[in-house]
Amino acid sequence: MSDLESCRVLFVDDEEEFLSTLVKYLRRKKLNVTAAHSGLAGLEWFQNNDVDVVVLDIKMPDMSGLEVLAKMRELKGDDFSVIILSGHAHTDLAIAAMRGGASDFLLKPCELNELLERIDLAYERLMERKGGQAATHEITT
Amino acid sequence: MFLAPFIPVALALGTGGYLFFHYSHVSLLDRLADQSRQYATTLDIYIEERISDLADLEAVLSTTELSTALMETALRHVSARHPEFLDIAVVDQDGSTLFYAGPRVFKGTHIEPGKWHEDALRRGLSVSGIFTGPMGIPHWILARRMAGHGGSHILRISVDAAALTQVIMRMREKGVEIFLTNHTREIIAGSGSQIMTKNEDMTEALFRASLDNPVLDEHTQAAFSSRALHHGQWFLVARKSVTAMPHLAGSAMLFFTVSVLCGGIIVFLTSLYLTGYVEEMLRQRDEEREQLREQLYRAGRLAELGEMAAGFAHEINNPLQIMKSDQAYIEMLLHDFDDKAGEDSTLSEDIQEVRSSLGQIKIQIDRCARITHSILSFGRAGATESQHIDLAKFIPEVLTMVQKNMQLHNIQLRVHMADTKLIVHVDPGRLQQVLLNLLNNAIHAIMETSDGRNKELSVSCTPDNNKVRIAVTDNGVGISPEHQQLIFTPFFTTKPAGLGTGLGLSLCHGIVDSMNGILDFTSTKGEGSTFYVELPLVQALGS
Repeated sequence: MSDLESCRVLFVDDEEEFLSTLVKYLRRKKLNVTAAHSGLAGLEWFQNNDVDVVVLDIKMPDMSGLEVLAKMRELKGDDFSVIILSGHAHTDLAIAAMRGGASDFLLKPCELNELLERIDLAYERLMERKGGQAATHEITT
Repeated sequence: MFLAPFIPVALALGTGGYLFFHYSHVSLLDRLADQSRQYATTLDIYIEERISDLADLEAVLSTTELSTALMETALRHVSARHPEFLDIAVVDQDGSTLFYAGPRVFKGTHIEPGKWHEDALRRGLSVSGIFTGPMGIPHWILARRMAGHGGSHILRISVDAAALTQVIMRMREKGVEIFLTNHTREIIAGSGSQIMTKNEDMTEALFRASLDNPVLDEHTQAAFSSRALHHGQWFLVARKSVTAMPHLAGSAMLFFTVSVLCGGIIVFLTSLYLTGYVEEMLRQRDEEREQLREQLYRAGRLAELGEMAAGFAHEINNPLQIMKSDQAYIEMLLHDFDDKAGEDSTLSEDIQEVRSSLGQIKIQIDRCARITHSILSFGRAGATESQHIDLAKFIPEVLTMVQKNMQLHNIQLRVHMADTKLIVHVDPGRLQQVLLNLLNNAIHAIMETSDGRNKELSVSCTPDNNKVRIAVTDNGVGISPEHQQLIFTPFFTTKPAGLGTGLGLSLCHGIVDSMNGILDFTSTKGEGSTFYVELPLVQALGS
């Protein structure tokens, strides 16, 4: 397991009860967790703070998770990882999310342990990618 | 109703029969008219010949001294050639016989002059009617005024009427009677034996009507055609009985009756067959339409339920996620409590109780999750990866997945595969899901039996026109009629709670439907079931 304590995670989900428990759980696991209860709130936080992993719900009242994902990619490119956590199990949806730049897709209800593992994996890959980019940058400069 | 088929046949045959008989009669009358004309001509020629014979004799006798001896010589001479010449006489103006040759009895007697005498004197030639006279033989008289001997003598010859009958008999044809009558309709010669009697069949009116014009007498069922002979004294009557063809009429009647009966029966049976055929066809159409309607209704209902279930599952997944999160969080807290409880055994036990209950909650959340995931895959309209697959290879591969399970339960597997390649264009994963579901259901149905029967499961795959039919047959417990209506309905299950979601067959139905195929079954409670999947063959699709 990578050093999750340094991982900054943003949860965007309209289910407040879920997020409140989740945040408590993950904070106990020493994760740096922020919860946003709508797509817009999530985007606003994302724009003003550094985030490593975003866990996105798909179906939300103001804007869909796929739209939020697209905006985030516009704002910060590949500088973060995205995991989709949805009650929808459509393969088409999963494919669309992957094409939009999500690195993983989880179906609700999922075990929090598993969610933690996926966040860890996504963060690890992000770090590898960032490390690779830094190395490339060093070589070119 | 029953007689209806006979009416057109009877009408057709009746019209035909009428025309046949009508033209038969017309033809008969025309033929009779021709025949009577020929007969009259023949008789005219015969009479003219006799008149000519008389003229020859008169020419000889006019220039010769008359004597009885001469007359006898002359009679011998002419009767040698024409035996019908009975006697020869020379008569004066008053009717007294001057010379006579003939039967001895008349020699020297006075011959009573009749109409013949008057005609001969006035017109030079006379042909009498036929009469019997003192000779006792029916005969007729030819008389001619002699040119010689002062022109006052008449040469008279008696001709045997039997000769006429011989002429008539010679020319007579089968089925036709010929009579010679005088103007009083008295028969003077003929093919019958009623000489010198009246033909009762022929009325005066009929006689006159039939002159030169053939007539059919309905009363006597006979056709008549009459002709006046040349010299106007005699008439020839030809008579032909229409009932002379009774066999023809009888045959025609028999033919008509048999034809009407046979034709009617054929028409009746044909209409009966056609009615039955059409009725059966309509019934089949109705059944097919009803079946199709049922299938459409079922498909529509399943699609509706699928859509509804997918939305429903999504809505359930969110609270399940909350419960799961809380369950995980409580477990985390319990872990902390464990540390805090330390040596406090009572608290530790309580914590253990809570953990146990929490475990049960987790199990039930997972159970709900399995159901919602099944629902979501049921309602899923996601992309599939269809490809050509050969069922002859594919099905045995699927069977290997269940063979172990079958061996464990002592179930015998029989496989019947067609020898040819059976290519279908489907998503192999989804078809495998369908077949495994059907096979597992069959195994469960067999396992539920408890009467010690030989446990058998058979799988066959055979082409049927442009389709292929995969059948999974078990000799398990079968499906009761009331359950048969419901087995494709989502959430319907006969398995104990918690063992089945009731979505398997609904899912299979949806999958096979999306493959343009049919999933259906036949089942008898207590004897077993056959579930079959029909899929379109690729060759048939022209691919």
